[in-house]
Amino acid sequence: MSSLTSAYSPRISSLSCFADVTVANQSLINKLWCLTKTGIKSFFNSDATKASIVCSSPITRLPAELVEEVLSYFIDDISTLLACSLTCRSWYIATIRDLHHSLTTDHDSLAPMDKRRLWPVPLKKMYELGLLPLVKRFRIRLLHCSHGCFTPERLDERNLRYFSALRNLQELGIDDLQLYRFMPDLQRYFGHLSPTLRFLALRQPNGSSRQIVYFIGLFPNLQDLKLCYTSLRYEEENMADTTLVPPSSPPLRGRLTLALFTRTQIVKDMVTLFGGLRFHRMDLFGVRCLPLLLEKCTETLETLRLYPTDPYGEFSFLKERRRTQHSYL
Amino acid sequence: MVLLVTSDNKNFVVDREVADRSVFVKNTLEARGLSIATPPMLNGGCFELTSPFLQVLEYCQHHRGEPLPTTDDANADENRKRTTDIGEWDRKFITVDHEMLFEIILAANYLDIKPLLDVGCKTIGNMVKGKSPEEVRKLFDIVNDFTPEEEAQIKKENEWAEDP
Repeated sequence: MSSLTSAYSPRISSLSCFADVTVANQSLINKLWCLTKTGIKSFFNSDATKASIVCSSPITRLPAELVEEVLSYFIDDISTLLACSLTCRSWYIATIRDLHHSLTTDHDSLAPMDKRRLWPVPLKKMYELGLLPLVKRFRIRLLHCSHGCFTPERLDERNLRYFSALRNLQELGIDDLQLYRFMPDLQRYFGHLSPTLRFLALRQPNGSSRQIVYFIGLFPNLQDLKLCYTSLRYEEENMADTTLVPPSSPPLRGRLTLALFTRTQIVKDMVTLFGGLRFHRMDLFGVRCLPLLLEKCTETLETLRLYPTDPYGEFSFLKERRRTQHSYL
Repeated sequence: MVLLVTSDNKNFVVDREVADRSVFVKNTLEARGLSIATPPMLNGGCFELTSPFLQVLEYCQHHRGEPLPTTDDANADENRKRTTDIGEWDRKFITVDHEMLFEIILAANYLDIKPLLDVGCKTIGNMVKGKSPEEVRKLFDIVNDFTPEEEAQIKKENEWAEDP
């Protein structure tokens, strides 16, 4: 009978109790910088941060990786994560990555909401705290009024510096992106997201079909694409756009969600410029180009969901929006 | 059949199908072409292993034959984390005192039994869910080692965290 214990001793040593993790005499901000620069794992292993944490519970026998595992279940339950982060130092360290996983800013200027959420305040504050590299999901939303479009003016030199610090972003959602206003410098504004972005959601993007497809082509690792309320307003192609070719052209794959999508030309351009579509799942509501999509994804499609009613609340968004527009007029 | 020996020298003879619920044991047996393994000295062998190991065996026995989760499916992992639901049998199985719960989690982690680890972590998660920091400390007997300044700093940072 052979003993395996010695062969696996490195694994045993990696299970050191997280109560050994320390917090030395440095400020939380310094610790955050340490975390964001070298990663949480290395922080746990850092000799420079050895000290002791006073915990007397059996839970202290769990290694840091398991505490992180437990707390990762609350990635969408921020209030519980907040409570856990305030429990003790080691739990604070274990929660920080998930706690700052998501960031949302609003670009409404008249909405009766918490002004702290207004663009670019959260981005600026998170930048100052050095937390932006921890953000995986970023939502720029429009809640109420009609003149809060997302334009290059929102990303002036200072705000672009903050935005560019989102180096590990995996999910991006933007309402009312005025794409035609960002041309031809899309790469400058969004290029830093190319290596990491997996999910892109655009609600009411404004631009020609080619511009929208070009924008999608900035992200070669996209696995999930959501387009909502693409109206015919910008259907007419700018002549100059017809020569616009996306910087990358992987066949689109993964999941596609379309809601109130009337611009068949976008799908045609995707097929032409990306060399086909390879979605394995589609969730569709209010879509005109269903036959084309089915034809192009015949080989890869595994799940198709057609919604008879609006599952994403786009109708209520539109209704509210039209009501507000009318009141401005 | 496979003979498993705990760090406190207790012998357990189990079906290979049961032993294979542990990726650690499965890989070890496959790599070495053995039918016998001395299993892990959990936590450096400084606590009695037999008790949690019996629990782990009971779990493996109940779930024998079920497909093992794949490790390369990122989406499945993501979906798994979005729910804290636990099956009825698993819930009854994991209804143990804190001490045993943490021993089982450690054993599941070491033996690489992902579904059992999930059950354990979800159970702790469900205990924590919705509680205040003070309630969590009381629940697990954790000492608040923050200075008032640190606590204020964290609250300030967290102003920018919110539900997506």
